Amino acid sequence: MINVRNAGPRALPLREPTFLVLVSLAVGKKHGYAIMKDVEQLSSGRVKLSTGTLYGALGRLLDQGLIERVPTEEDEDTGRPRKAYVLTRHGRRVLETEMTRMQSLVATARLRLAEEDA
Amino acid sequence: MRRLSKILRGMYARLLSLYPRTFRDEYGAELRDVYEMALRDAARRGVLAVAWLGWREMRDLPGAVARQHLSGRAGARMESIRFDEGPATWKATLAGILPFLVWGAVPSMTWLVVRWAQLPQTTTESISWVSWVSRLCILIVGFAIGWAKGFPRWSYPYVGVALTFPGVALAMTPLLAFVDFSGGYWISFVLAVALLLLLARAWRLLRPLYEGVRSDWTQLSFCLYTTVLTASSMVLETIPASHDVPWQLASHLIATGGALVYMRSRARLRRVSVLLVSVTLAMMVVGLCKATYFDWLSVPGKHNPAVWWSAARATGGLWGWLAVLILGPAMLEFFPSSPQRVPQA
Repeated sequence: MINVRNAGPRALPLREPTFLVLVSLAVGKKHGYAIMKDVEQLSSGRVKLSTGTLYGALGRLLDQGLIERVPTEEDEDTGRPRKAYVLTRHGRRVLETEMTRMQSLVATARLRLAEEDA
Repeated sequence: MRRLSKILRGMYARLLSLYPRTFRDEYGAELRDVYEMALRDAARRGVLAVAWLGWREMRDLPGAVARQHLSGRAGARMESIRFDEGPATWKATLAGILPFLVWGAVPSMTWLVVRWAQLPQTTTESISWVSWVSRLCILIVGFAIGWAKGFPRWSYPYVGVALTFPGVALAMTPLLAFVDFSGGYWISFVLAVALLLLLARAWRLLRPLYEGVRSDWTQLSFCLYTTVLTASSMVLETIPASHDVPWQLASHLIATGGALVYMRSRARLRRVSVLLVSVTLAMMVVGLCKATYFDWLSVPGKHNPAVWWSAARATGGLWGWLAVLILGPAMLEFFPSSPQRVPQA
C-alpha cells in the first residue's frame, strides 16, 4: 500500500513532534508514555504531546516503516503486555537525512550571519 | 483530586469512541494506559497538573480525531480504487449511465412528450424548470456520493458533466474572445480538466480521483466521453428543435449504450474501443441530421456552409476532436507511475 522505499525523501522535512519521536527512539525501544515524557524533556518542555497526537504520529511512522512495534514486559498495574516502539534501520536513515538537512540549513544561516558581521 | 482524576478518566474513555474503529482497535488500550500513567504522574504534582493534563487532552482531541478520520477515509478510498477492476455491477452500471440519460436522452424525450401532448406554455416552462433542477440535483448528489466513495468508475461521467459548467462559464468570458463560443468552450473545458487533475494530485481529499485516473486511464476517457452530449447539441444548435430532437435523442441513446458497455467491460482496449465506436455512431447521426437540414442554417452571424457535405465535414472535424479527447488519456501510460505519496509524518 505504501512505498516504504520512497518514504525517506517524501517524508521530509519532518514535523517537529515527529522528529522528536524519532530522536527519542534513537537510543532504544520505548513505550508510549516514555516517548511522551522524553519528547517533553528533549524539547525542554516546549513540546508536550497529547495521547491522540502521539499515537497519530506513531501510527503514521509505523505505516511508513520508520518504526516498528515490539512486545515487552507486562504492565505492573494492568497485567497487559506493553507495546514498545523501536526505530527501524530505514527510520534511522531518514532521521540522519533530516539531521543533515537541518545542519546544512544552519551552516548556510551561519555563513550569512558571518557575511553580515564582516 | 481523586474525584477530578476519576471524572477525567471517565471522560477520556468516552471520548475515545470518537476515533475511527480501526484506530481504537489498534491503539485504544495503549491510549488508555498512557493516559492513566500520565494522570498518576500529574496527581503527584498536584491538582493543577491534573487539570492541565485534562485541558491539554481536550484541546488536542478534535484535531487528532479529525486527522484519523481523514486518513482512514483516504485509505478506504485507495482500497476501493484497487478493487474496481472487473465488470461493474448492474447497480454501478446504472449509476454510470444515469448522467447520459438525465443530461441527454431524458430532456429530448420530455420535449417530444410535451410537444405531443400540446401542453400550454406555462406548463411547458414549469416542466422544463423542474427537469433542469432535478438534473442538477442528480448531478450534485452523484458527484458527492462518488467523491465519498473514492471516485469509483461510475462516478467519472458526473465529473465530466460537472466540468461542462466551468467550461461554459470560461468560454463566455472576454479571455477567450479571440475564438468563437464553441472553440472557446473546448479550450476552457480542457483547461478545467487539466486544473482538476492538478488539484486532485495536490489535494489529499481529491487524490483518489487522480489515483483512479493513473491506475486506469480509460476512466479519464470515460469522463471526457460525456462531451459527446455537448458536441451533439453544438452541431444541431442551428436546426429547429422540431426537426433535430429525434436525431438528438438517437445520438444520446447511442452515447448511453456506449456508457453501459463501457461499465460492463473488463479489458481497457475494449472499454476505450466502445467509447470510440459510440462517439462515431452518435456523431454520424447528428452529422446526418445536419446534412439533411443544411439549408436551414440561416441564423444571422453563423457560417452557412450552403452545401450538405460541407455541413457534414464540420461534424467530422468535431468527431476527430472527440476521438483525440477519448484517446488522449492513453498518453498517461507514458508517464512514469509515481508511487503513492506517503503522507508527511
